[in-house]
Amino acid sequence: MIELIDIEKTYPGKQGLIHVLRGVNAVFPRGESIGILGQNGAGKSTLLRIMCGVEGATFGEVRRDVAVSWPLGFSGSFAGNLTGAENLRFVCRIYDADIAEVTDFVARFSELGISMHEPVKTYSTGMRSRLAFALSMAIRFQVYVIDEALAAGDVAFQRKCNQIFHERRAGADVIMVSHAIQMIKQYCTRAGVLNGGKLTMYDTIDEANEYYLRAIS
Amino acid sequence: MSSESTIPTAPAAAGPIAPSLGNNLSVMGRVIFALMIRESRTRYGKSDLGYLWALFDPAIQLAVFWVVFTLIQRANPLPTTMPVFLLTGIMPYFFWRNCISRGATAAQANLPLLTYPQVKVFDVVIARVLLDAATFVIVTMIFIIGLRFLYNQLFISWVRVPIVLVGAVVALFYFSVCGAIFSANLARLWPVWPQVFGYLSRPLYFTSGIFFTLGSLPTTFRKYASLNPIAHLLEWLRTGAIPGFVSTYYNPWFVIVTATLMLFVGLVINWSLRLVGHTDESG
Repeated sequence: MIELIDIEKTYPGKQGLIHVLRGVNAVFPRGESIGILGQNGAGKSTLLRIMCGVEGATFGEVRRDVAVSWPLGFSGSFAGNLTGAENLRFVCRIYDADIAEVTDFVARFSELGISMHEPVKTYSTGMRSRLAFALSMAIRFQVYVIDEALAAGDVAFQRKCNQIFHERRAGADVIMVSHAIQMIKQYCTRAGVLNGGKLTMYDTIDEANEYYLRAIS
Repeated sequence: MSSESTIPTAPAAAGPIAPSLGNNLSVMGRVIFALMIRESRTRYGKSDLGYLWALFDPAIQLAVFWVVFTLIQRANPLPTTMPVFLLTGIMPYFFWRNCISRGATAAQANLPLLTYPQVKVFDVVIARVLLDAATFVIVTMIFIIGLRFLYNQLFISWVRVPIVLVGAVVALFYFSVCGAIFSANLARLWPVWPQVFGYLSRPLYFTSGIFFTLGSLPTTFRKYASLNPIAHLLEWLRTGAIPGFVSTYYNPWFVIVTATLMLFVGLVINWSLRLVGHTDESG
């Protein structure tokens, strides 16, 4: 379960503080996959990063008792001066995963080949996100977090991503943010709307969509 | 479908990051271990040359001052050889200084890693101090073995009465860990601290007793040098390490109380930052 308690987030902007989240309260129980609808700039990605611990909240508390992935494809945690393989080993160590198995899986899935032993700073954006995606599939999480897009890379790789993600979903939940209702319908059982820095949860996706369409018009 | 065969099976599950205490400690141990390996890679680079620098740096300082002191015929205030006098000052001082400066940049240098929920600033500081401690021990051993060949002196006579030296070494580690935690948190509050410490460490280098013992100073100077806890620490270490040298000018409690005070201030800063919802961000 992930519990958000009075989450506030401000960023320092050129003209003073930008208040992105204004007191978000929500519970994401185990066994439910939840989508969050919101316009561009509504703070969806920020909320997502706070939920999985990539970023801290300015005020409020996040309670987590499940293994939550980083946003699929998020590569901001890689150290540029270390190789892909070294970054991978670090992640294995802190998640107590088997290094040999994960290396084997990631090398084959990401198709990075010998680039695995080059520093990450020499990677293209596509290579970085392929590494990040493969790594998040190699370590099994209980909750997978998706920011808009699930897959990375070209069409063939995207198909592979979708396929393996379908397998992983068997024992795991999804939390995703999107501005497109189709994506959320595909993966989620419930939805909420993030508007004006506040999150409102609905029992059905259709209900959420109805409110969302009214809010943006 | 053909693509099905290209998908390998995934490894076993990662355990949840459970909030119980026992689990938290094992998570912390794993994180610190992973950070140490990563840190040794980034710090000492791909080649072994990087690690050799940790040995060369104090060796060069030692050589320079040895030559200078011999040329100006400066008296050695200790009943021992000049390199032993210089080493017992340079090595612990370097260790302490590294802990403070690496602590100061711990959060900023590892911002990407702090994005993993189980990695905390505290873990990074501890990993850095442990790595420096390992380097300190290895380099000191090499120098002791080197002295054996140079002077036929193994520098182990303290073994007969080890209690003072053991106490002093434990105090050195405690003083350095506390300083690193203080330094790391001060830098989060005051981002120019790493640069400020860069300037501070220069006068400290000459006033911490690397090149003198408190007893060899004139009374006026001694009064001021005695305000520096590192001078007490070095005096304590030398009393323990060098047979025939007993100093009455150092106060162990001054070292321990200063260290504890720094630890306390560091933790208070950390706690206050958490209270106001501070997040470590670049820039």
